[in-house]
Amino acid sequence: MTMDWNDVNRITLTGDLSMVGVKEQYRHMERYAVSQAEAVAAGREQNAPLEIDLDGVRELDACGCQLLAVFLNNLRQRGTTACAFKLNDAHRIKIHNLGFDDEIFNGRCP
Amino acid sequence: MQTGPENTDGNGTKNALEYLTFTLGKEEYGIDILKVQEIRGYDVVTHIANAPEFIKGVVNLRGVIVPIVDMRIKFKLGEPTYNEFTVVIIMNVLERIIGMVVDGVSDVVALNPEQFKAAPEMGSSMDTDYITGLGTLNDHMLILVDIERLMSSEEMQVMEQAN
Amino acid sequence: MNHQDPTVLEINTARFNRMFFEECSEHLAEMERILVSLDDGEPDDEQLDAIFRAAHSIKGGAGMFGFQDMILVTHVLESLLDKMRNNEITFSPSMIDLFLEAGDVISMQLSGHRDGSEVNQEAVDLIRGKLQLVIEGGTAAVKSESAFLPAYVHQGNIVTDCNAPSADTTVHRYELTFAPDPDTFKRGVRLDNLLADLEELGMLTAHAQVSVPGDFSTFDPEGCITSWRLCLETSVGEADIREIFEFVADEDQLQVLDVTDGASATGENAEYGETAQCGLRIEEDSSAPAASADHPGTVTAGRRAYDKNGTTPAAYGRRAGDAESSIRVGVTKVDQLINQVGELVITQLMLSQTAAKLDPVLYENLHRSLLQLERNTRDLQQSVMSMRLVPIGIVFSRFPRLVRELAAKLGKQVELKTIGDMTELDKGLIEKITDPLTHLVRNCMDHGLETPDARIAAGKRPGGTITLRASQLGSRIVIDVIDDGAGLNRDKILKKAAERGIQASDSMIDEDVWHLIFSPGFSTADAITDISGRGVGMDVVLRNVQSMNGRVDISSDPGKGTRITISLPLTLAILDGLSVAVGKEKFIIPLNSIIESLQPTVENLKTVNGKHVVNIRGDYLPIIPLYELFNIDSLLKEPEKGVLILIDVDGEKAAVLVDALLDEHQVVIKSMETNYRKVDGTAGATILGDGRVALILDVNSLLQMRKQNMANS
Repeated sequence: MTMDWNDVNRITLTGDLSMVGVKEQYRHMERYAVSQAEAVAAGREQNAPLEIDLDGVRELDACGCQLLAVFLNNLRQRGTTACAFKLNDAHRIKIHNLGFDDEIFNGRCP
Repeated sequence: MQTGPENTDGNGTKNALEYLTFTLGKEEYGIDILKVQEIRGYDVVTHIANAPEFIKGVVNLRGVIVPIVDMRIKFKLGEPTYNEFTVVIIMNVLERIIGMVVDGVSDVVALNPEQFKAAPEMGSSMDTDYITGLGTLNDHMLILVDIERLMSSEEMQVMEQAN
Repeated sequence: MNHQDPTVLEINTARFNRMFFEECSEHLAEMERILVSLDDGEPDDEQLDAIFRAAHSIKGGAGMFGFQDMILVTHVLESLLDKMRNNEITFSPSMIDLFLEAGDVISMQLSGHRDGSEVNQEAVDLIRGKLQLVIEGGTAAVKSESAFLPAYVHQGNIVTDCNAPSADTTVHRYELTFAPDPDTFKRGVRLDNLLADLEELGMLTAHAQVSVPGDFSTFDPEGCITSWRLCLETSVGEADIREIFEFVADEDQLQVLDVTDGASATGENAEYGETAQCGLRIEEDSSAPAASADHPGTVTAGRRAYDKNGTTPAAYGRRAGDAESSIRVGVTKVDQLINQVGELVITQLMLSQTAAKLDPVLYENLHRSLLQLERNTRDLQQSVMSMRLVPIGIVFSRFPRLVRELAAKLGKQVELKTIGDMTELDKGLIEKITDPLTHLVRNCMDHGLETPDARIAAGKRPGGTITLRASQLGSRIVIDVIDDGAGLNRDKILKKAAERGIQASDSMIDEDVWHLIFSPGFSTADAITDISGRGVGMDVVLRNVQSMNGRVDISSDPGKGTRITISLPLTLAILDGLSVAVGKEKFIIPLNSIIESLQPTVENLKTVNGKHVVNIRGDYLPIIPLYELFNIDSLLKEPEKGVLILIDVDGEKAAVLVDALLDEHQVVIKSMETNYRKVDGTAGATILGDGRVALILDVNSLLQMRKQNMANS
C-alpha cells in the first residue's frame, strides 16, 4: 500500500516537441494519461498539482505548444492541474511569442 | 496546590472553592471542580500491556486518547466492578486529560478554607502528601485531594517522570 | 527610486511583512545554493539568471515593504549581476565569495527587520563598496537604472489594452484573426517564423486559442486546431500584413481589422468577449524597477507590479507556476486540518462498518456512495498529509556552504556529497534534525577527516569526502553522515573516557566504545577548536535525536572512515497497518515492517532452549508471542494454531505470533504521550472504526523487549 505519488504527479518530456517529434511526444503523454487514469481508478491519485518538466526539450514549435496545451486541457478536464513548469528561458520566450501563455500557463492554478 | 484565601469561585462567593465530591468505598473525596472536564460512564478500555493494575487502559474520548485510572484499585477501596453505573471523572490535570474511575459522584459543594482541617497522618487511604485538607460536610468527612499532585506523582505512573 | 508610498506603508501589516521575510529567506537560500554549487566555476546563463532573479525579487520585495537599507545593497548586487548577464563584466571566482558575503549582509538586514537584531552597518557599507568597485572596474560608466534590465523585460511589461489611445496617429493597430487550416503544421509552415516576420513590422502580441479536441486518445497531434488572435501595432498597411500570410493562409483564414480608432475597436470587441487583451501599450514608465512603489493602492496591485518587473521571461512563467499556486499556512493550521481529517476518516470507517450490515442489494446506492466517500476521504487525507512533508534537501542544502567555509578554515580539502535529497520528512522533524546534522558534519570535518598531508601519508587522496545520505527504510528515515577520514581511535577514546571519569573498560566491544563519544563532556580533539571541540556536540546530537524517538549508531573502520547513522521513526500522523487480534485486544502492525504472514505447520516449528523458533525456508526465526510479551489472556498459545507475522528490523528478522489477522487499514497515529506515557513495544495508538483504541506496535521495540525478557529470565 506504499505508494509513489511522484509517479502520477510529474511528467518529463524530452527531445523534440516540434512537428517532427509530436507524434512520439503524444504517445508518451497518452501513456501518462492512461497511467494517471489507472491511478485515479485505483484511488491512488493525489490531487497535488502536476509538474511538467520540459527541461530536456530541445525543439519546440507551435505544433508542440498546441500539443502541450491540448494535453494540459485534457488533464484539467479530469481534475489535474499543472502548476509547476520546468523549462528554460528560450522555450518560455517561444511559448510567449507564439501566444500560448494563456493556454499553457495561465489561470490554471487554484 | 495550596488553596490561598484570595481564591474565589466563579460566582464570586468570597473565599469559597467548589469541589466535586465522589466516593471511594466508604470514604468521600473532593477535587477542585475546575479540574473536572466531564463525567462519563465507563466504556470499553484498551488495555495497556505491562501497566499497573489500576491503570485500566486508554479510551477514545472524541478522538483524544485518554488513560483511565481506577482509584478503587489504586487505593484498595470499594469493589472494582464495571457496569452501567460505573462513573469516570474526566479531568484536566497539568494540561493532560485523564479519566478516573470512582464508585460514584455525589455532589458539588462550596467550601471556605476555614472549613478545612489539616489532614492527620494516616487519616485516609491516600498519602497525606496529596491531601490538601479535610472538610466536614453534613457530619461526614470530606477528603480534599490535590489531584494535580496526585496524578503527577510517581506512584500513579500516569505521566513520564522527569529523571 | 522607491518612493515610500504612504498607502503601501499603511497596509504593511506584520502579516505581509512576514510573507516578505519568508520569501526573502527563500531567495537568499536559493542564491546561496547556486553560488555554492558553482564551486568556483563560472555560472552558466541559467544560473546567473537565477541568482539575478533572486536578488531582483528581494529588491522588489524590500521596495514594496519600504526596507530602504536592503534595497541599497540588493540594488548594487543586482546591477553587478545584470552586467555579468550582459557580458559587460566577466566572471571571476572571487565574485562567488563576494556574492555570498552580500547574501549574508542582506540576511543580517533581514533579521534586523524581522527580529530586531543588530545590523552591522560597517559590513553593509563595506559590501556595497566592494560590489560597486567591481561594477566600476568592469564598465566605464554606470548606466541609468533602466539599463539594468535586459531588453526583453520590456516585452514582459507590455500591458495589453485595446482602447488605449495612441499618441502617434501614423501607427495603426490591427487585430488579426488567423485560423490556419488543419494541415498547416504538416505542410511545414513555421508559425514562429511567420510571427517573427510580423514582429518586424511593429509591436506584436499573439494569443493562441486551442479548440478543445473531443478526446485526447483520438487527437491528431500533427493537425492544427489552434487559431491565433494577433495584435499588431505598425505603420504599414493591411496589404503588407496580408503579404506575410500569402503562402500560409487562404483569404478566409485571415481576418485583418484596423482597430486604430478606439471606437471601432470597441464595437468589434464585443464579438470576442475578451478582446480587451488585444492591442497593446508599452509601459514606458519612468523606471521599470520602481514601478512597485509607483503603484500605490492595494498590496495586490503592488505585488503585481513588482512581479511584473521581475519579469524576465523566465520569471514570467514561473510566476504562473510557483508563486500563485503557493500560499503560506501556519503549521498549527495544517496540524488542525490533519487531526480533523483523521476524525473524518474514523467517522467514515464507522459509517462503512455500519453500512456493511445492510443488505447490499436494497442499499446499493448507499454502498456506492459510501465507496465514493471512502475514496474521497482517503484522497483528502493523503493530500493533507503530504502538506507536512518536506524534502530533506532543504536541510542538506545548507551544508555545501558550511563545508566550504570550514574546509578553508581547517586547511582541508573536502568534497560533500548528498544522496537522497528528495527523501521526505515531516516538517517538524526537518526542523529538529538540522542542528544534530550540523554538529555531525562539523565533527567529521574537524575530527574525522585528516589534513591533505596526513591523507597523502596514509596513501589516500588528499581531498576527503563527506557523504550525507537520506533514505527511507521501512517505517524509518535513515540519515547517514559518512566520512572517509581516519576513523575512530579506540585507545584514544578509552583513554579520554578514563580521564573524564566516564565509565568504560578495555573489554568493551567497539560499538560500545564508539558510543562513549556521546557521553556528556567527551571530546577527542587534542586541541579544543572553535569548530567542534567543545565537547558539547555529540551528546547534544544524541539527546536531540532521542527526543525525536530516533537512534544514533556509529560504525568506524580505522583508517577508512566513520559512518554515523541517525534513524528516525516516520512519526507522521498516518500509517498503513495491519490489524491483528490477540485475545480480546487488537493491535496495529505497520505494514512496512511486515515481510509476510503465514500459518506455521508443526513441522516448521522447533524449540531452542524452550523458546519457539520457526523454520522459514531454512532460516530459523525467533517467535515473539505477543500474548506473552504483553501479558494478554489468550487461549491461543501454540504457534501452530495462530498466525505468524514475519517482521524485519534493520535486517533482523523475527516472527510475531498473533491469534488472527483482521484487516488492513490506514490509521491515524495518535501519541500516547499526550495524556499518558510511552508504552513499551508501541509507537502510539489509533482509533479503530468501532471507536476503540488500538495500540500500534513498534516492531523494533518489540525485538528489544524480547531480548530484555530473555536476559531477565
